[in-house]
Amino acid sequence: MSGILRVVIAEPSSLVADGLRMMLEEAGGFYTVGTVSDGSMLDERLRVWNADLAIINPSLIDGRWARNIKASLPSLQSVRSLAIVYGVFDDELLRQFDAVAKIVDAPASIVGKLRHMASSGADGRTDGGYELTDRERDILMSVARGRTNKEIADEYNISIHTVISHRKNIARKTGIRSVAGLTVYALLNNMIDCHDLE
Amino acid sequence: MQSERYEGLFVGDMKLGDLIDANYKLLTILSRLGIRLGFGEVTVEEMCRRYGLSPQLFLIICRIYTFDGYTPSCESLGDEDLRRVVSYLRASHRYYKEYSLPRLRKGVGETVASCDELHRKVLEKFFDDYCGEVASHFAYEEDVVFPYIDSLLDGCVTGDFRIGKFEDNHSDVDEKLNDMKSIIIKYLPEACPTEQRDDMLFGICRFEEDLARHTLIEERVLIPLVTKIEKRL
Repeated sequence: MSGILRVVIAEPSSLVADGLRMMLEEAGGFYTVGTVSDGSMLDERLRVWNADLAIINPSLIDGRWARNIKASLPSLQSVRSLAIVYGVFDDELLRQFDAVAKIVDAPASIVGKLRHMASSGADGRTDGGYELTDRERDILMSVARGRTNKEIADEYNISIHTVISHRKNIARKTGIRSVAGLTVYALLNNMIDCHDLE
Repeated sequence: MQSERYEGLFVGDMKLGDLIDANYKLLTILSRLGIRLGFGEVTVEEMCRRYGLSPQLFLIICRIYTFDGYTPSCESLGDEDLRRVVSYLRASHRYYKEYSLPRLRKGVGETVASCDELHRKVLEKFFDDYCGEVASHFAYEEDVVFPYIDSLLDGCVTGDFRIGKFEDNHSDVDEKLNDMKSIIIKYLPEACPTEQRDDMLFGICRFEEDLARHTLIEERVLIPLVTKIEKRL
């Protein structure tokens, strides 16, 4: 994917949808091809609008498909998806997105996630892949900053078990297990800077 | 059994030169046992007689360094062999501390010299911290484990340390070294010169392998021999 990224926003609140669109306009490099406020139209719209990226409020996902959203949204096989979250959702549901952003996150962080998603390979987030998912990158940064599993679980509102499972995937993908090694990784990849180290 | 098969491969009437030819990495064992090169056509048994070593122990160490699945039978080894094992392990620590690690550290410095200052510092610090952990692991063995074995051999054990308490705290150290390898192979900044990077990686891999064999000697020779004496007391 190169050039302007085509984005579809799926968000029930027009206020939030407009805010996201303005954020993308300001950031540059994105074009919001359309907005949907109803999940039933989403898959068709993604296809028709030839989207590169989708920003999706998970509340639009029909509960019946929460365990396998790609079954109800086959377009997500090729379109990268970011969940925009301002409610409480099952971690299992969120994990199926390529990245997760909170509504309170800084715009630069949300834009950074979208750009990273667009530049990583199409199968990057499948369990057998080697690219870190955005959630794994978030957790890796927290580990590198010296956070414990418990602190990370609280920060992202997930169970410690989930944190451990993410950390296993991070170790498998990077080949690095120790906290000190992950800190080196994060610094070398400019994910954190020296001010993040206490 | 597989281990018996390995016994026939390295035997006492073999030429020492042929043994080294079979596994050149055994060269560094010779130096740690105080055996100098230029030994000509001498056999393993002759060399051992010359240096006051038991050929059995020497061959066990060589086999552990060479054959992955080899677990020796320590039945026929005695107290004098245990002294030799401890002195070998001490010499091995010295070799790592005075030769291997400083050399690797120099290689790390040369490899990262052209990186950004932050990246350079971070990589050097990671390696220095690793060396610190290795050193404290060795210090534990030298300050606690080896003196205990010395006193056991002299028949005057004091304190309540027993070999069962010998913690295998290698795993953290191994993990860091493995991480260092992953970082070098996959994530080193492009500014690092290729040749230095390759040399450093080869050096680290060699060190890792050597340290793993060193650990096996502790597990498969040292601990069984000490346990045997403890049972006797």
